[in-house]
Amino acid sequence: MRSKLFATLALTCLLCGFNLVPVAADMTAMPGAKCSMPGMTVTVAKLTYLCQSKAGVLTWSTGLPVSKVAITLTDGWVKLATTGMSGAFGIVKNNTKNAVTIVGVASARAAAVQTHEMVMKNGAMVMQMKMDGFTIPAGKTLELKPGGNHLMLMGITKPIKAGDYLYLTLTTSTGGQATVRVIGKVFAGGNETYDTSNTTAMKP
Amino acid sequence: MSDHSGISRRSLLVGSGAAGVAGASIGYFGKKSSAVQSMTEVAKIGFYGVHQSGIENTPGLISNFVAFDLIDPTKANLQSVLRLFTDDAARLTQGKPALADGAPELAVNPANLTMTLGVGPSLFTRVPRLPSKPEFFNEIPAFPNDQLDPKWSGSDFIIQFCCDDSLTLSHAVGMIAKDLSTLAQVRWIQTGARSDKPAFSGTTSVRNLMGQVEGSDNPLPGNPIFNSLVWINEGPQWAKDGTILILRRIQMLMDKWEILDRSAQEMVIGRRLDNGAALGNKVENEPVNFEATDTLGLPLISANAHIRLAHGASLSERIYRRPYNYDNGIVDGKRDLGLIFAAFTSNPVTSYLPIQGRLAQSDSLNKWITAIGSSTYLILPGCTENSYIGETLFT
Repeated sequence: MRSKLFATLALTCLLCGFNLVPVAADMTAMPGAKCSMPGMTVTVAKLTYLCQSKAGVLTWSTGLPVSKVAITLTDGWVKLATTGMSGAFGIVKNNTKNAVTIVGVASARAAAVQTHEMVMKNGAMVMQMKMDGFTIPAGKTLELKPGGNHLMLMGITKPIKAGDYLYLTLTTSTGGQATVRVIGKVFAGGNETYDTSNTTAMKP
Repeated sequence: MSDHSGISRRSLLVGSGAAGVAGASIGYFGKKSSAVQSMTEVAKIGFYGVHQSGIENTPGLISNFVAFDLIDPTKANLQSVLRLFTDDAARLTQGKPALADGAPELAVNPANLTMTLGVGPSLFTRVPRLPSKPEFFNEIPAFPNDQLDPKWSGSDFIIQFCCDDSLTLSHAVGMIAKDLSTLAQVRWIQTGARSDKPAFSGTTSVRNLMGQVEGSDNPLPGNPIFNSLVWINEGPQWAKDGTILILRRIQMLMDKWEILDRSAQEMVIGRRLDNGAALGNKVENEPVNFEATDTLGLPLISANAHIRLAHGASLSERIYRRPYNYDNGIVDGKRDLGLIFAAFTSNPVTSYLPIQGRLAQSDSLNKWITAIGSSTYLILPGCTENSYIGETLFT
């Protein structure tokens, strides 16, 4: 479960204060133990552990049995990137009869994937981590789009090229998982980078 | 576009037996005499199917033939091109924005947009480990009178865009060019246009810029003869239900043509200009009698008349023509215009090559036309919603 890669990539987000990629300690999930990145999931022996925030403290959840959950993503795409970060978008639909909260996202093509939202702060749109994940009411959809709610891929492990298929595993707060596909697309906008010289506003 | 007659071009053509039309029976120019058009009447042509669209259906009024070369000719990159093309075409032809569409508002009026992809013979030499191509699919050799310019000839693949709205067409071409920009570069683009109306009511023939009738004796989409003449049914399985596009850019030498008087122009072709009837006939679509003679016993249709030489020596020697006109205006004081000859055949070796061989040898028309571009592409079979165009190359 340990990876040298993660240890060397550890970065802290200047906007949200959390690690952009998991630190080595995150890779050994122990229920109740501290973790550094909300939304991070680790699955061991058919149990998924979530890095959750409770009263400002990040700890690993108890192991949740993995099951399939009826979440679909249509119109899924991901912005091209050679290294670093990228954004993934699409329309997520909750096909179940209960509200569902997506608390973790994982991809083999990124060290970590976070759920992000755009919010108005001091008159400017800024991006911040969605601490408690995306909640989608029963039967409803959530649009992920540049400049709005989106998935942020951190630590791209292999360049995302035009026409590539990427698979993302969405994990819900109850341990349900759904794997969805997105396609690599050329896109000039959505430059959602954390920039040390520009700590508040994101360029539109 | 000031047609307020209430009769659309499409309803005319659909009525003529073009059974392959997949949709688009609504006259979107409106039934009322009003400058305000409804946006609710959307003319679109289905994308998925056994065959790609853009062949059987009524051609859009304007076209772009966009030729691409792969930047890095790998199988993976080709696959990416085909996935992106399919995803974009499936959306844009239905009036939906592409994914990551920078101007989604320009996608809402599909205007009978079709997007059709074909692969060139060069692809099979450049991309390693592709399945082999059909034996009958090769570059078309240059014919004796051709003056082929590389800027109009050949490429790894082509996308034919046909549409009734220039804004929609521009958007679709731009979207594809952007999406493929990291994988392929545009080698050339040929833009074309067709008349809004057929040359004669109840036919699919259209006039070209010389005033001649194009498409007489075309096999009609949807009937069994068309199917066997156009759709590939032999050779490797991946190409089945595809077709071969012959694309030639034919410059018309208008200054010289206009020196001829009308009867001489008709002799060159072997048809009357006004009603399109073969000389000796009364209407366009009558079977041509090549033995007919005048009172002096001379053949009405001369030995070198265009239609005599173009006429197939056997039933298999026919092609489906779907041409467009091009006009670049006045260049160096001369009109620069001609025909984008686009024809489809299941086997060019047994159809197009013998026809063009005869025409190149002795067609009277050769004095007034010159082929300046020549390409051929294998139009891949169609696909279902769960696959992509060209998937058969990878299975």
